[in-house]
Amino acid sequence: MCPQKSKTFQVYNASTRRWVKYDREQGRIVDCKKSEGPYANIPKYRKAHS
Amino acid sequence: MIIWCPNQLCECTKLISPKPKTGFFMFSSREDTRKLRTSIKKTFVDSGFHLINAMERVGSDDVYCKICEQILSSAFGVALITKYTPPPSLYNIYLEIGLMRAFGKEVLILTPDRSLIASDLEGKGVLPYTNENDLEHGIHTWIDQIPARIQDYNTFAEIYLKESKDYEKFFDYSRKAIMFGDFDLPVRRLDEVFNGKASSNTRLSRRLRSEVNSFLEFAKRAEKQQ
Repeated sequence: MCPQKSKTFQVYNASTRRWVKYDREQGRIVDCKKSEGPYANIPKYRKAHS
Repeated sequence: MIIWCPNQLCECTKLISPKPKTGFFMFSSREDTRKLRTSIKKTFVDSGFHLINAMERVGSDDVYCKICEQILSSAFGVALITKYTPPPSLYNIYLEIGLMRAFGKEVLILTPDRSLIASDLEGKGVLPYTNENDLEHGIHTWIDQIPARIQDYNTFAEIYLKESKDYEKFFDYSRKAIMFGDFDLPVRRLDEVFNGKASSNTRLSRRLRSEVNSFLEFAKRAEKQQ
């Protein structure tokens, strides 16, 4: 059985040096972290391209 | 994406030819900074980038429209502001910086004195310098960060394509990567999504399809000229 995809994930934006949160249900970025470091308890996005 | 004309306040109907790896250079021609400007342009050219300015190709008819067109076709902006920049030119530079930022384009503001820059910009994108070497080093540092930005744009393009099938945003991010000089992955991906085998099954508006294809045409032509 495939593990269920989480509702949200986070991605690091090197330009702003901040992590952003993406919501799969809304299909968009919903938040940008104000401080450094990743969000707690939110999985990180794994890039498909090299 | 609708581009609202800042002049007529209606939808812009011009076909904008994108100029990848090109920056829009904002400065005062009434100020004696020719030597400095030449050195700035050379620093960009040495790294494979090109700067255009409002003095180029601006005729007597609708100057504002032509400047806006140059801004829209550029990848980024570079502004030079010194204590000798006369007020009429300074206002124009700030208007152009505002337009660029509103269109989502990064602007690098070069100044010998940080306090000369409008405080509302909160120092964002400001590169203070004390001499020409300093300035050259700062520009190189900014250019060195471009590959990381390209990687980001490609990642976000991938997310919008795969996660939400938001083709508009996928195109926007891919376009950003191409404008900064990545002619490989984003071009291939746009071609595949909008013209590939599976594209006929993808529900895309005719407007978006034609916008992407005309952009790809310009981008491929620009790549050959590199």
